[in-house]
Amino acid sequence: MSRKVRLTSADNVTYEVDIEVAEKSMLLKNMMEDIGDDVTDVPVPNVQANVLKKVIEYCEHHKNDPAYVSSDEGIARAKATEISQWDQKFLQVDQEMLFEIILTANYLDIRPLLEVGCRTVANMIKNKSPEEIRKTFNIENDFTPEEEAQIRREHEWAQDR
Amino acid sequence: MDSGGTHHNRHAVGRRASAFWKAMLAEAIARKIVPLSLVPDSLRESRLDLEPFPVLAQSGGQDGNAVPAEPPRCRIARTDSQSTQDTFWTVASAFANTDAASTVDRTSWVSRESAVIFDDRWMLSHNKDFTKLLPPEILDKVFGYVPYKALLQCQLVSRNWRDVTNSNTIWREKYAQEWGLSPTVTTLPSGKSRDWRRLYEVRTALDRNMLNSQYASYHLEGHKDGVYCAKFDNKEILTGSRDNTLKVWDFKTRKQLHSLDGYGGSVLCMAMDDKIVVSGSSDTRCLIYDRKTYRQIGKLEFHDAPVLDVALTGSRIISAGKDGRIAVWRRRDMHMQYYLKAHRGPVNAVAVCGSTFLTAGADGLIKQWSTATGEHIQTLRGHTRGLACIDVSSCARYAVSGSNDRTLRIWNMETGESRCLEGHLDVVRSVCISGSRVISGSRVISGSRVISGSYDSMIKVWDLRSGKFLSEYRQPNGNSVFCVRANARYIVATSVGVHPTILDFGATLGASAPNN
Amino acid sequence: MSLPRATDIQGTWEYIAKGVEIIMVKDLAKGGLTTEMYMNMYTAIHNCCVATSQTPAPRSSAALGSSARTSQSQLLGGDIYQRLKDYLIHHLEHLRRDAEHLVGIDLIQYYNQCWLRYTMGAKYLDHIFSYINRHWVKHERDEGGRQSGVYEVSVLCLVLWRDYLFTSLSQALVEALLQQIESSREGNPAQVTPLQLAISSMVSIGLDDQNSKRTSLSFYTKNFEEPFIEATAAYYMAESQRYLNEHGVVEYMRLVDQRLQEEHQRVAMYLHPNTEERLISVCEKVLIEDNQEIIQDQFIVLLSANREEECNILYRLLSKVPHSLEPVQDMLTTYVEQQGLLAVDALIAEHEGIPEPRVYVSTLLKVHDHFDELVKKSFGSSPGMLKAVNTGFTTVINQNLIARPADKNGNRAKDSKTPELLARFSDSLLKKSSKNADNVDVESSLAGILRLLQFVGERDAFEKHYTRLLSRRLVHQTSANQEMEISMVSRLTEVCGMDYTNKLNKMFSDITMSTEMQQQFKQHNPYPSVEFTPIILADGFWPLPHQKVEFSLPEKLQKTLERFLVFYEEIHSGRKLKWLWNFGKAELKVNFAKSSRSGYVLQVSVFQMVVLLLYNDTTVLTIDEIIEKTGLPAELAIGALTYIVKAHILKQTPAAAPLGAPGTEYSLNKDFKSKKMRINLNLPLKSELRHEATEAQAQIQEERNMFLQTVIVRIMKARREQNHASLVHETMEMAQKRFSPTTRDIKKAISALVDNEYLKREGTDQYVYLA
Repeated sequence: MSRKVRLTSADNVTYEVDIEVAEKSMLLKNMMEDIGDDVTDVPVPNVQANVLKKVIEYCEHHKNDPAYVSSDEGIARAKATEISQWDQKFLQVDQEMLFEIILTANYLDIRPLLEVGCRTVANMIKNKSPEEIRKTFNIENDFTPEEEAQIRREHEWAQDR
Repeated sequence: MDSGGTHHNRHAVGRRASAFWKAMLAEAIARKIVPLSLVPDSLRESRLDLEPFPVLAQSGGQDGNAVPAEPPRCRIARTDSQSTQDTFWTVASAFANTDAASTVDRTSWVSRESAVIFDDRWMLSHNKDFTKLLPPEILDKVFGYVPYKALLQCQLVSRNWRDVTNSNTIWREKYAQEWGLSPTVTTLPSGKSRDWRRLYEVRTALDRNMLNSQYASYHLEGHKDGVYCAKFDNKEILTGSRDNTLKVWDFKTRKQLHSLDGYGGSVLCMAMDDKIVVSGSSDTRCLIYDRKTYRQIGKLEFHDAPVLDVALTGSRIISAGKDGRIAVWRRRDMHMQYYLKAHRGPVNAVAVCGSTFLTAGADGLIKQWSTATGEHIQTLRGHTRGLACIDVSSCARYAVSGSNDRTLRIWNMETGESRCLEGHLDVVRSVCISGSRVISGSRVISGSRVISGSYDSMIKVWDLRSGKFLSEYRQPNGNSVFCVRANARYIVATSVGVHPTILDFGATLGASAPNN
Repeated sequence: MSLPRATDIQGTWEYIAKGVEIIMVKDLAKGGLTTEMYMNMYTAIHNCCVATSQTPAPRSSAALGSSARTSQSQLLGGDIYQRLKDYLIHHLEHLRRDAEHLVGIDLIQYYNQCWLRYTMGAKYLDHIFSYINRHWVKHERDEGGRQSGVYEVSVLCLVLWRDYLFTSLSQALVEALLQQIESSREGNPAQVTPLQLAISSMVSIGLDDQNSKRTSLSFYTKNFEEPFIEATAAYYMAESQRYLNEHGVVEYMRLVDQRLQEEHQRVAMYLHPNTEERLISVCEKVLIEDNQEIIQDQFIVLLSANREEECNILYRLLSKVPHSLEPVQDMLTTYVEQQGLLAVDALIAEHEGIPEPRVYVSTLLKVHDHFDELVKKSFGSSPGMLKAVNTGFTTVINQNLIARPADKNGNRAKDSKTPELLARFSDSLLKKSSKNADNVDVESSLAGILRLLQFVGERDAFEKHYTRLLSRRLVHQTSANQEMEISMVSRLTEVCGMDYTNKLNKMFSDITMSTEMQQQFKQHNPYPSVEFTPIILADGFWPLPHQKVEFSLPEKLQKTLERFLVFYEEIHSGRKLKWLWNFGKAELKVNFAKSSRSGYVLQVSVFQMVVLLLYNDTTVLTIDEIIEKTGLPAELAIGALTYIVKAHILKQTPAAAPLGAPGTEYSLNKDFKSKKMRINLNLPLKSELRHEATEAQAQIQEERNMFLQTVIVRIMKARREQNHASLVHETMEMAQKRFSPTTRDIKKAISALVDNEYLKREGTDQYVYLA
């Protein structure tokens, strides 16, 4: 029966989780190491309940994964690593939630989640034309035609020389 | 916001968007989600004609039964005012955030056209430009995963996106993914940071040029006979020749700076670092020169046959002779520490591999020895005839050897296995590994290359990891190639002819191409 | 307290500062920092850094190609970082001021206390500020490289500690530490933990310039290790002087031993393991090396007094200093020489002359054993010391008074007699004799001989004598035990080499083959009138000189001889046989004496036989008749007669005349009586023996000369030309294994070769090989 810890979101919803699950977050792990064994209640400001719930779900699923080894100085993560099936499905949420998850992973320092979230966003971007990107994210095109033309010229030059 | 404009996409978006907002607003008001008081006066007073939508099924329409047949009806005039649009945006977001919104089943709008439209707009209202949501450190991470071509597309999306994707951190990451980061690349001597994007593009162009044989070629004039060996760094090229001299050339101007002629025979081989250059000659001696002043600072006498190859480590010099012996000398006092009878027959090449060194003999074997103790570590077999040359990657995990059996072999130093590359029509006289670095475990960056030169006058370029043949060049006059050295930008080749050749793949790129 | 607004840097800092204060100063144990505060601090920092994402990025100008993006969040992160840094500096200043007036152990205690508290706090800070670590700090370091001066918070804390607290305290602190250590050397045990903590803190502060994750020891080395080593050296220098003056060398050595132990322990207790090497080498230098002469001088005293334990200490101490044992080894060699020579002298005195080889050998062995033991016990079987002993012993064995006796004028003999004595001793062991020692005894004695043989310089002399004596034993069949002979020979292989023992083995096989052939001859000639057992030897392997003797063999014997020759010719045609009559023997059954009815069996030499057979026909013969009838030359006849007359087989008239004088007559002695049935008349003359020995010795010299010439020719053939000095040197080297030639010998050999036109002299110094 492993220890449990209670995480309370910014809007006062409490979730009880196993210690190993909470320790997926380096922030929580370090804190519990520092303050000691009698930590039971942890407030998590900045994070709304629905997002916290999702993040906890991720940690639960991955709680037995080996410790995350980030590559040396962040250089050269392999160019193509697959995102697991489960993770893909997990991240099939609307964009807002996706970004919230990313922000929360960044805040709580859950590196694998942060990476997989960023990859997902990157996947949303690649293979799209600028127009399609704009449509996907509701972005306004604020270039003047001259500016755009110049950028395109620059690109051609980079490609061909 | 610009009015009109020739950009078609924007129009369509604008038109659809404003209609949608109005529809949403109407809906919201009808459902009493948004109090009328929130609607700005300007809108209320305008020709906003709000008609409530047909009410949806209360249960949220999961079974898709409640199906109002008509698309949203509204006769709100289109407005292009920015502030109106903003307000609608805010209101619509509010609407989107509530639980009520999330229970609306999108497919309940029956007409396919309207459903599509609704979908789109739904997406639109939810979707935000995340570059405004996420902090720059996360954005750098996200775009670090985006491939190069896609990054260029991102540049065209909006000004904000252009700025975000121009972040130096992202381009540093992209460069690292392709070619790895070595210490010489990461920081400029002045301590300022590099322009990584430019670096990336220049390096890509160099690679492409090398593949497509786009280069400018130059000659070094001055030797009177064939040139056996060459080495170069950022500043100088050094060549050793059958005319008994070792010449030093300025790399940029290609003018001869020094000619060292203390030799009693051909200069067969050399090795250098920042401080010294060691050269071996057929008169059985090795001469050592200081690289700043080019004065002779040492002489190594031991072999009684020509010295065929030399190598350097930080503290030692290794010389290999035709008498089959290897001598290991201490640099600080130029005394011999020990010698080995390494092979049956001449030792043609020697190369440093981490804390060990490899010797390649005319007996077809490669042997690995500990530099400090001279202890034999392993023997690599595979070539069917004598070896002519050997080179080791800077990470010491791979070695490449060329042989009289006309093949090169790429050796994995950990497993001892090798891959055989065929293609040359005569002995492979010289090999060089350019630009490899190991990052993160066992992955080798795929930018590493092997360059081989052969008596069949061809210089071939191969990929180190896969062994795939990439491109080739012919030495002028069909001369047998004696030595090849290369880095990301240049290949220097020497041959039986008196002019060493420099192939510059960055000639079209202008100055400041990287040299590592 | 609610979180500050993210964009308000000052507010954020003030909010955080409270927490930082608790972390660094207040008591953390009693729940000083709550979970809530922790999270809130972290969150405040996070929000501050992320704040800019809410505000739209500034619109960049139309100028394209703007690359590096400056973001406001990076500036914010930097602000917080800077304020933290300022806080820490202030805090450290405070600590420093409090420490200003402290000295000694108090200072150390205070320092440790602060250090512990500080490092604990630093860990908390590192975690709470981790957002800045992960992003802003990383960015700054990536872009700016080493010069950025920006570190992760944990490292920053150490850097600031080093720069603001340690550097100002370092002198006082190090002094205090050294004081403590010195006092512990004086005998007041120091408290280990404070020292250990303070010293290890210095190791932690030493950051590698390149990679802030690794510590480099250079800081520790410069600030602590060097002063420490200096102080140690000074301390021990003073102590060693004082101690030597007050106490003796032996006591001093014990002290050194003890001190070295102490220092090893000290490293284990509170110093960094890296220091050990330098520390010990400095101690060894100051305590041992600088005083090595005094210690070395003590050696002889201890050695003569047989103080084994002290010798051991001395040896152990000196072995730590390179080259310091060499004088000791030399002293040992001299001592061994002395003792060995004295022992032999005592032996001579005891026996009033040259003793039996057996005694000689055992004395030598005793001396060697004694010193062998000594090396094992006191010098740890050190090869260097063993070598010293062996060198001394070699001198003893080759130079002692028995080996090189002095003549009347005090000149010592040129060649050592030891090889000959050894050979004679082994001969006596291997010969059949009435006092047959136990086999085991023989074994061990032979082993002893082999041991000594290793030290004998003139091995070729030994070989020559041994071969000579062996051949006699074989020919005269006086070996006691064939197996023993063969085993001895095989053991000689180790010492003398295969070449030599092959020759010996050939001798054995000759004998075996002869025996076989004798059987065959017997079958061939089953009913001989005379029993004839020839031994056929291969010429060249046997050192038996051939004397050409003309004499007449009695007819009966002649016939047998011829029959044998025919027989032999059939088996080995084309071989030439030379009869060594001087080595032949015979057994005569005589029946002339009244006293015995069965008669006697006389064992005689061939010459004696020929003489005695004359008496088959008559009972009296004059000397001239004997000579005429036998055909023997005079000396041989007389020699043959010697023992016959001495044994009273023949009577000489006149009796007083010298043997063989003209006119003497010899008649069979009918009154001959003897207790034994078999009488051996075939005894070698003493003069013969002596003659043989000296001749052997002379031959040795001749052979050596030949050997040198061969060696020189071989060298010159390879080199073609060579100068005098190197030629001499090389020749000397090659000859060493067999004997030690003098330069004069070599010069003589060279001259001989030049005279014989094998070499040519060129210029003053060179020789050229003439093919």
